[in-house]
Amino acid sequence: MAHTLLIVDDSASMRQMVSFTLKDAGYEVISANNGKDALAKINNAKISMVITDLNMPEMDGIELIRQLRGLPGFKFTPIVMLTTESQDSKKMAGKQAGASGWIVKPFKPQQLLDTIKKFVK
Amino acid sequence: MICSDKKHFALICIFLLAATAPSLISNYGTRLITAGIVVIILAVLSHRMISRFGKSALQQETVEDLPVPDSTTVPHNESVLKQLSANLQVFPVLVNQLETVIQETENAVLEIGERFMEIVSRARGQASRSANAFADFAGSSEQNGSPLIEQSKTALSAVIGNLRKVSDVARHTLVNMRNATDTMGNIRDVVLEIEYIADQTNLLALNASIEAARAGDQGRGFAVVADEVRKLSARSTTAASQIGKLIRTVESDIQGMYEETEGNAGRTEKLSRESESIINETMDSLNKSMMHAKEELDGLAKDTDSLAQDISGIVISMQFQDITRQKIEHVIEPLRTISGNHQRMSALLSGEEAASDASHQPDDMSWMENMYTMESERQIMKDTLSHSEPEIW
Repeated sequence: MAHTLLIVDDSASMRQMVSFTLKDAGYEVISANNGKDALAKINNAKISMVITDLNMPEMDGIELIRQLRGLPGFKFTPIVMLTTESQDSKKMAGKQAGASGWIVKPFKPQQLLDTIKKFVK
Repeated sequence: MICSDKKHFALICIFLLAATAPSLISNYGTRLITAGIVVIILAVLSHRMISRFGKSALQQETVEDLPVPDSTTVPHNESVLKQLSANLQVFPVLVNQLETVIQETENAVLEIGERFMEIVSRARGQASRSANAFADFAGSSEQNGSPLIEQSKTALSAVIGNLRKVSDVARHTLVNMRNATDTMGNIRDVVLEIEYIADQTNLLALNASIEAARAGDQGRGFAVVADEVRKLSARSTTAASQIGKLIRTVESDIQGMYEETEGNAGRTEKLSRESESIINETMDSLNKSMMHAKEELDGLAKDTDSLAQDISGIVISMQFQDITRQKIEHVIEPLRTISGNHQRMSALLSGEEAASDASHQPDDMSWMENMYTMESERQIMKDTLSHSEPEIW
């Protein structure tokens, strides 16, 4: 059974191309356009990994991670930030919130897939 | 400004007179009460003055480079106000233009992305269908069912096997016929023996007849027996002769059948060999064609994969849109801030109460640096600012 990944990004084109890359590699994908939307879409789905942007309206990536880590099913779920932000202070904030990794945009498809493979066996 | 200074001078004089007034009263109690009243009045006046002076000073500091609205600079202020008002109309237009660019680019990228994904999907589907069609025909390592080519091979091998069996049966028949011919030869020997016995019996009967004649009447009975023996011998000879003839006929028939069967067996063997050779050649040719088709199909699959990867690369490279969007948004945000600052400057110049907005001042660059998310944005800002600074040697 294919793993389900949650993609959170306020850019429709980013959601589209990340979904395309992951679906092409055989993963199931749930897309959300911000943290709040992501929390609403999770329901009871078994999410193997979360890939989220940092700067988003309504609820940003850091707050999403904090809220997800508070949920019983997401305590150990890998959560990787996929963002244009590259400042160490922001990375540290992400790490403290509970992020498992950080990928700076623009990303290479193989780089993203390799990162996913490290977390999702 | 001059008018304001005169007011301040008069107020200071009043303060000094009021402060010295209680000292002129001789009665201690009255002097104390008067001093208290003066202190309260001076405190209230001082608070009002400080409030007014502070506000005036703040306005002066904020618009320190702007002309003071007196009779000589009013026309100039009006001109600046006009310009500011015109600028204020430009900012929302610029912001809307940029937001439209973001939206249109995103729509275009989404559409292009969708089409590219369709191309990849179709190419993959086509390659998969070709591979499945080939697998149905030629089989694949993953497939358990017997494919058509294998079934054909099995059927043709069965035909060759049957032809070989026919040939084997014929050969077996030939061996049996040879055995039968050999047996006929043995029978002929036996017949020859019978003929010899018959001849000897005839000779014996003849001798017996002579001896019977010599014995006269006493030998008459014996002569009859000898005659019967001679007759039997003659019949034996005739029977042996007939058997010999029949054996020759049977031998001749067997020989004919043998030759015919041998000919048939030879032709069947030849046919079987030729069929096997044709089938093997056909199978070899079919296998070669299959190998070639498989190679072509593998090549097609590789090309399709490569195409899909290339297109995936193109789709991914379209993430520039998201990066461009963020960069434009990082231009829109300062534009809005500058627009707000213009509004406040305009209000100050008009003498209106400026909105106490917490917007950043254009000369404070740290907020912009904090707003940027990309290293390239920060680098551009750094490069731009370093170029704009004067170099002192």
